[in-house]
Amino acid sequence: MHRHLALFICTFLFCLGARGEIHVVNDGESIQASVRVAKAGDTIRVMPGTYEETVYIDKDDITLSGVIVNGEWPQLQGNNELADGVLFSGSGVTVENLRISNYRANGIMIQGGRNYAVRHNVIEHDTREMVYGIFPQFAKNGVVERNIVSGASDAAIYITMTENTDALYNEVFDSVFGVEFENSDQILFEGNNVHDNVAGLLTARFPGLPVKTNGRYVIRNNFIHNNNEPNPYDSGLFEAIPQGTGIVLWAADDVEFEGNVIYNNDSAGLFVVTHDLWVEMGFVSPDPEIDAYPDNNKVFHNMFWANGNSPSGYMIDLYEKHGAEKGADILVGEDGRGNCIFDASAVSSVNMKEWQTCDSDASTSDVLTVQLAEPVSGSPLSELPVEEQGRFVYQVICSGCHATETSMIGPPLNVVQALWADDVEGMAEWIKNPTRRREDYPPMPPIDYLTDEVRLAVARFIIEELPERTRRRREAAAAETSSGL
Amino acid sequence: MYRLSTPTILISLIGIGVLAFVSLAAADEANFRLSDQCPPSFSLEPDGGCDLRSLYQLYAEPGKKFGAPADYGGVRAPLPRHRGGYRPEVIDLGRLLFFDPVLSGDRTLSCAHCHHPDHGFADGRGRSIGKGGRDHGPSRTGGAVLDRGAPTLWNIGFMDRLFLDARAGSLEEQAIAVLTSPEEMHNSPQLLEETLSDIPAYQSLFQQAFGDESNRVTIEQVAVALSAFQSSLVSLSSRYDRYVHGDHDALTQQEQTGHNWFRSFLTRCTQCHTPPLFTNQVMAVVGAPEPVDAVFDQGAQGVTSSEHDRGAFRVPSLRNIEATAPYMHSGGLDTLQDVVEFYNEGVGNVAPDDNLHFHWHVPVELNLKADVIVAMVAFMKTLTDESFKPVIPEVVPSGLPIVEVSPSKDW
Repeated sequence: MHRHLALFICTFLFCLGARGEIHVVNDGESIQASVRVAKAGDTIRVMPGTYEETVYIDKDDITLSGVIVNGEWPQLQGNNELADGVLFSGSGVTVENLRISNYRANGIMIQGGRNYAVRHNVIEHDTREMVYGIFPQFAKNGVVERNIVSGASDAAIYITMTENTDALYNEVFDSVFGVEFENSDQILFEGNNVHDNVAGLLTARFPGLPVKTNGRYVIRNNFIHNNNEPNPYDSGLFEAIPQGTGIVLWAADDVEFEGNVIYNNDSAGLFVVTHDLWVEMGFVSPDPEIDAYPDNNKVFHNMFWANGNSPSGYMIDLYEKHGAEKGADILVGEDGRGNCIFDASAVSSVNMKEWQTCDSDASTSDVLTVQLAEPVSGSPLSELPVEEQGRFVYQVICSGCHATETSMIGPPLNVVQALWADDVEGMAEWIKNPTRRREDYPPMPPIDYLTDEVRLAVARFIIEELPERTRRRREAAAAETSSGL
Repeated sequence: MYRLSTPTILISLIGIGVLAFVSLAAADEANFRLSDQCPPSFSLEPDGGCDLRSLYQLYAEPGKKFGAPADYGGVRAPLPRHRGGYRPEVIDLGRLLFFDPVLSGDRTLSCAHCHHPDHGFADGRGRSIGKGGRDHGPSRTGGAVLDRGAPTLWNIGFMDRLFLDARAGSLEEQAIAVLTSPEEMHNSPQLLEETLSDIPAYQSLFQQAFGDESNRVTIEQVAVALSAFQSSLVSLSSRYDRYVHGDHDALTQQEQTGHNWFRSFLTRCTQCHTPPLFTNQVMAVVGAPEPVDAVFDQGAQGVTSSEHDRGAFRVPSLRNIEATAPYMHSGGLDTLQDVVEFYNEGVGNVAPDDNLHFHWHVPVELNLKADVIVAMVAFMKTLTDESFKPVIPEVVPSGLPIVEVSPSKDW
């Protein structure tokens, strides 16, 4: 009877999606303390209050969710001393409903996370000294949506070496770049408001990075306007930032611009540049492994208005170089191949002579998302059948120190097999926290980071399966020798 | 400081005396048998080769080749391709060759003299000493002082660019270059092949390893065996790795703080020192100072002739970095603390040359607090793991004396 009731409750909870525990963090407590005890599937709810800490999540399937009460937000406060507000590397992590203020490095950094979501956060810096606001790096399959980000000394949203990410309905302003995509693949950037930055949107193919791709972006239905803040930098790479530019297309390929409203950017609405030109101008180093040209980009059904009215810096020189007396909506500094524009006559442009006319039915309407239909699998152990878990763990952990019949760092496994032959469960328990048994070998490190099931599977493999495998292998070797091979 | 005691000097003198009389055939009697088991962490595959097994292999996307953007970073980034697949006998032959001074032209210098297991498979020197020196590791004296320090060989089987200036594309190519360099092992292919072919123990070992009926040893076989052994030097079981694999108490609070600063994009360390190997193998100009007695080293510019590669070196792995002081390409910085402080002071400080195109991710002045710097050093020391240090042979087939095992500081 009780068992049925328990089963009923479990099923009921599962239906609600609450498969994990909920940890509530109140003002004055540590968020990280909850992360430390949280397990996959858990949710951490952060109540309104001020939290002066860096929250890091190197676990999978954790939701960090602020609770907003009568308009009062939980606030992470870096006081311009701490590096990152939230950083995570786990897969299946969601960060939402947080106000993140005055961190020196990043508001939210995603390093290598898969299947991630960053939504409904406010990220700010009082003196524009935060490096990046939201920063997916080496990430895959995620969404960055409905965030308000300002005060970055570099990009408010910086998506680098990342795949399959939707960035939707964010507002980014008062930063050096509103948004930067760099050496990434497949981004949908839609419905964002990018304004009052030094430059609005940069698609960069940066040299010297392990990832060389830059493209397959859909940039649709955004407002990109009034990006005319003065460039605070006058030397080094940052000198290259074309102040007053809506969009910089730096050696990107296969980018589709549709339905954007691009206005009042004083140097240009869209600036197309090759890697070679920037090398020639001394801003960046060459990289023989990258494709230096912007190719196969499409610009259609956008609204360009009043761009290029007052170019600054080297943009003036580039206009002059191409014989233009004043700025324009679109400046092609140096061109690639296969680019097209549909409504060329509706924009003012300089050096666009190589661009073709796009098909009249060009559309990105088939692209609803660039996220994957199924979450990326990190192939965790739990996805292998139990027998294979044991074999796999034996190979990747145990065989590092144990051989079947000879001493290595630990004793030979035939000794271990004799010892635990009748007590597989005992062995599984022992390896969790081994007590030292032999003075002639170093102590074995605890294997406490595997689940009980996996520990049992590996003990079973060593006791029950390995001797049989060893015997078969020896027979095969003997057969080979006797056959004269 | 090392101090020579009278007995040591006596033993050394006797050793030299004995050497003078010992012919290279001395070790013929020794019964060398190559191991038929793969080294720790390697699995014997049906094709007879040894393949690496690591928990990190769980983090690769199933069925996908390494190389997608998401493969390059984050705590659970997968491993890049490993140079495995060597037969256990070839690996074990490589181990004997690695420690055998017979590989050098004057038969005094082995690989292990500058890549010693007790010095993190480096030599504890800012700049290594090649031909004509005496002793090994930090105690090596006399001889040709090279421009750069010997890089560690831990995890070298993952590297696809060899030498600090990336002038070789494989371990085999690298080995032959060092064997024949007039400043280093100063041998020639012909002399090396003749020498080894004349040692019966090696004849038999090369046949065990390569199954070749010809009695002629080739320098290519030597290079393959050395590469096989070096590829077996894997270090992926540090406390940091325990943290990655799910033991969330594996690091102390200070180390975790250091980890967070290390991967933050203020310091930008992980931009080039990407996990799990803590290198992305990119060529980078960081502007490290040269030691006082050295001139500016043009690095990869000497290979590519590009001004952009002036002073560029391969980003080193930080695995076992604790064991390989002093640091940077020529030992211009003594301690890990010095290295963090060098980056903390910002790009271009103490630059050894005026015409450098610095790697973009070398940070500007950071103003890190002292406790943060200490924490970052503490974090780097969590990357120490020498549990799979190979066994140093007691005798090598040439019978020549090999490098001392774990010298005490008192001798």
